[in-house]
Amino acid sequence: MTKLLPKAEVCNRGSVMNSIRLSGVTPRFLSDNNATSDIWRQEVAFRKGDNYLVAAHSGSGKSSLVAYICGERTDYSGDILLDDHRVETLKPRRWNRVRQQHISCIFQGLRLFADLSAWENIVLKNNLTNCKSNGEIMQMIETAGLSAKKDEKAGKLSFGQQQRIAIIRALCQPFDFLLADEPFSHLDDANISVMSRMMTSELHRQGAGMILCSLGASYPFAYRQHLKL
Amino acid sequence: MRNTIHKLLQQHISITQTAGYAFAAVTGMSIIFAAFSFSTDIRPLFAPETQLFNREIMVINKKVSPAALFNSSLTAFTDDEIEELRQQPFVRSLAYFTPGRFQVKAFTETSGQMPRMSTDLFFESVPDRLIGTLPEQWSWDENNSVISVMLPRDYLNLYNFGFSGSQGLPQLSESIVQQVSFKIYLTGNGKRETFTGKITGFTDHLNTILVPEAFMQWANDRFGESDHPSRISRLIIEADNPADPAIASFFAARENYLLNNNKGEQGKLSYILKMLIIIVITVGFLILLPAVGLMFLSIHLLVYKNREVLGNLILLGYGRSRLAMPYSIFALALNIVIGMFSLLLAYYARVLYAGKISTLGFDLSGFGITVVFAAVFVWAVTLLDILWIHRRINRIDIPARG
Repeated sequence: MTKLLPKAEVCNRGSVMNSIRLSGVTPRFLSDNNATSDIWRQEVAFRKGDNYLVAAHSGSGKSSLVAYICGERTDYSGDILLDDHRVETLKPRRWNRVRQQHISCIFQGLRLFADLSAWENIVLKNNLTNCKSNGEIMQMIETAGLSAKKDEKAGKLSFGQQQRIAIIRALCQPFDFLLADEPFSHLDDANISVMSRMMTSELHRQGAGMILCSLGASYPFAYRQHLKL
Repeated sequence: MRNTIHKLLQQHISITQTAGYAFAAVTGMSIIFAAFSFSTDIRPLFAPETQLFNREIMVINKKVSPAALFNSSLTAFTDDEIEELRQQPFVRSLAYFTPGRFQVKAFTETSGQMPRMSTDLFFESVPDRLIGTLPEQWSWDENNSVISVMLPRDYLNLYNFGFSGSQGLPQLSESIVQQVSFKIYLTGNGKRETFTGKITGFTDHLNTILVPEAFMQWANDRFGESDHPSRISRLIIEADNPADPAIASFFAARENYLLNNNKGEQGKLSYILKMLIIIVITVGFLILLPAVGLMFLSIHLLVYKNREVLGNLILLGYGRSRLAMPYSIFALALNIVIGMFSLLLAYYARVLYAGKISTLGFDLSGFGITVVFAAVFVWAVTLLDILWIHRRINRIDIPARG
């Protein structure tokens, strides 16, 4: 597989994940709620290479969806399958591989380390796979307009700045799917434009798909499907 | 970059808890190491291998009660009693004295140095292997007619320091006594015969007049009175360790047995010393155990305080065993420092007691074995810590729910 694609473009890795499927998944806290949804209680398949917009109201389980797929939470009924593997059956070692090479997340809460500098936060992720060179990371920080902030502690940055760091961090790994949970909530249009271009370019380069959760805004991406949660 | 992970995970390490653990652990470990070092240093005092061969031998007989005046079989051992002794774990082998069943008379022929003497004697024999160093002529040849005799060294001392002075007789060295031959006159079974006798050696631990076993068999066949009862009244035990406390307790329970054990007192001393060392080591552990408990608690708290960071790292794709690494390295480094410091204290203690022990006239064994012991010990404690770290980190929910 790696022979067919130039190494620099996919970050060195062995296998590819082609689909994420949800089969009758319902969060426990929504189990007695019968509101219609395109995702909960449905058969849904996300394909590698396609972008999906998941629009949701607050409290409809948007962050839960991300948390379920990335193995953070298991308070649901139904099945989530990564290719043909039910996530409940994945061993910790396998989860490490999934998180290092197949699914990258931009969490709504960002999950940056406040005591580390912006640079260290990114490199901590990149270090797992050495996907990007230091020069490439610098380039991304510069594009995001954060060159002057790279050595400041993440905790001292504004939430908008932190959001951009979290996005760059998520791009510093090989992935088949990018899970983005309201990634632009604190960014102005100019920044949204810059960051969405950076994401699109990386999605193309990796041939990856994206599941973007948003409260309503659709942002400048080409979606295969709009889903209502 | 490794440093970033360490920086992140070693947040919340409590200096107070670490110092408390270090202080208690150094106290406990230095006591344990010092006691270990002391026990290896004094081991040569009690180790069977450095004792002379003959010291592993004990002679047992029964007390002579007033009743024995009329019934000499009271001091004989029955077959059951012998078997019981043979079954004891501390008995490596058991043998007995074979008495001669004939009359013995020894006399000297007049010569320049030796006074003319004549005396009634008795002979006994024991298996050769129990005699220790055998004299060269310790054999019996029917055609030779020279009987090799061994005397207790005490007899010669009695003569030299007691008898000879009071009687104005010359003192005799062992070598002079060994040069002198005398006549031995055996009577029994209707036969009488004269032999040449020669003292060929002295024993310290077998309190009898010994002749070679081969001679005893021959002589008992030839001169032995058939109606003379052959009773076993003295047993010889070869023990693996004469200082074994089991020996003392066995004979304490059998009041009519008399044990001639040179090592008895030393056995008690060794026992008391061993008990002391065990007590000291126990105290060391009593101090160390809460320290290790404190370490466990600190690890637990540390992982708990860092659970969010750990959970986030797991979500980024970091493996749990990789996350355990910084804590394991910290525990290892801390324990190595503690171990070395404790070893240093133990060495200092050893310097203090070494001077006193060396006046007893034996060399201390090396400190190397204590260093090895300490290394193994520190590694074992560290291994416990590492197992505990892994256990705590494996218990982390990713992330903490909510």
